[in-house]
Amino acid sequence: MSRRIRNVRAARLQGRRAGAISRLLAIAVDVGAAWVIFVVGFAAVGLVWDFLHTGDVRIASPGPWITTLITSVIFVLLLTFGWATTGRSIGKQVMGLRVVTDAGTILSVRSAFLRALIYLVFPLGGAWIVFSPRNASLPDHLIHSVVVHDWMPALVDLQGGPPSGQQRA
Amino acid sequence: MTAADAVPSGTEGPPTAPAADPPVPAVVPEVVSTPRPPGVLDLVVRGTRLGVDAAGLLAAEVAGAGVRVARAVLPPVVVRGAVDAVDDAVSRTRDAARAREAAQRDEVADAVRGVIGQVVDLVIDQIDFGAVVAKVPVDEIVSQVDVNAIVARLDVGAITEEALDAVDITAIVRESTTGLAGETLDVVRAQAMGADGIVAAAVDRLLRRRAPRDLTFPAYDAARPAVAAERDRT
Repeated sequence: MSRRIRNVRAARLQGRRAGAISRLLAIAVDVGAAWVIFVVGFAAVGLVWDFLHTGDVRIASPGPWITTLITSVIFVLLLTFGWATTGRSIGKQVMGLRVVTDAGTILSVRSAFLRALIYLVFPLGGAWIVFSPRNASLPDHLIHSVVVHDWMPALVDLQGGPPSGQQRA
Repeated sequence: MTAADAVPSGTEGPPTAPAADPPVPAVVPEVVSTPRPPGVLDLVVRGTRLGVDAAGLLAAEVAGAGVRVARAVLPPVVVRGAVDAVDDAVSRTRDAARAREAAQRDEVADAVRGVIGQVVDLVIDQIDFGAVVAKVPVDEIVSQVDVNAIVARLDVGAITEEALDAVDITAIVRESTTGLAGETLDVVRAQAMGADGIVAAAVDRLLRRRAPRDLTFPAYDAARPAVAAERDRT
């Protein structure tokens, strides 16, 4: 199914470098997704564990360190998987963004993992987007990556042909 | 003001009586009479005429046949004289008889239709449909109808399935929901884009940066997204 971008300005910005707010919202969605996955997964594992090993089935409440640690791991894995496959994590899919190399190609798994790790260890590095004349964050400078607006879901065509079902305003 | 002053200029003496209006010819309403449909009497008369014309045509045909026999039998000298004259007369008579016969045939057909219509109207007028319907045992007929058997013979499931197949509800729901969600998402994305621009402009103004930000990225073609490009293996 193809969709048409009705907003003229948005259509004009497709393929251009994304700004701070769009990327901040995307990261926020990714953090939220990682947290939801952790909560649901922890509750499910806890219930199954209690059901199998104890007679008292209850929903456990994890401590803050456990929550932070496991959510961080999920966060890095989510970002790595998304960026290394389609260039989109969940948050970037929602916000219509794509991470590519400065050559315009998809990041390798190593680059995607490093980029995610930098964001986790030093999230303030993302603040550099606001000051960069080319909307580049600190991880972008280190990994040589670029985040662009790319709203339209494209059909994969590894043969290099034009993607089918594409309509751009 | 006197009465004389009231008289219009150019008129003198006592006022005369107003002149009488010219006579208006009486309007005689035109009576439009609708032609009476042909009746039985018309049918008899036209049928008689048709018979007479048919007899005349038959006589003319017989005479024509006689002329042809005479042409074959008599010597050419006689044929060129008297027989030709007779043949002309017979031909004219035969043509006229054919024309009259055709016209009478149409009139007779018209009369037949008219008579049939009148007869049917008379018959219908004589029928008391209320009494006829009252004599129909509707309850008895309905009680003998096995509605369940009729319904059982109907493959409602197949009919419903066929109707649902004709209408691709799944596609309609998918199109509407994805379209609505997509439109909503596009609004959020567009607003975020606007916020990007506002933040960037504010910071650039704070930094006294005059040149606008370079947001172009020629290496990436949005019309051919990165998933179609060769992977970066570095």
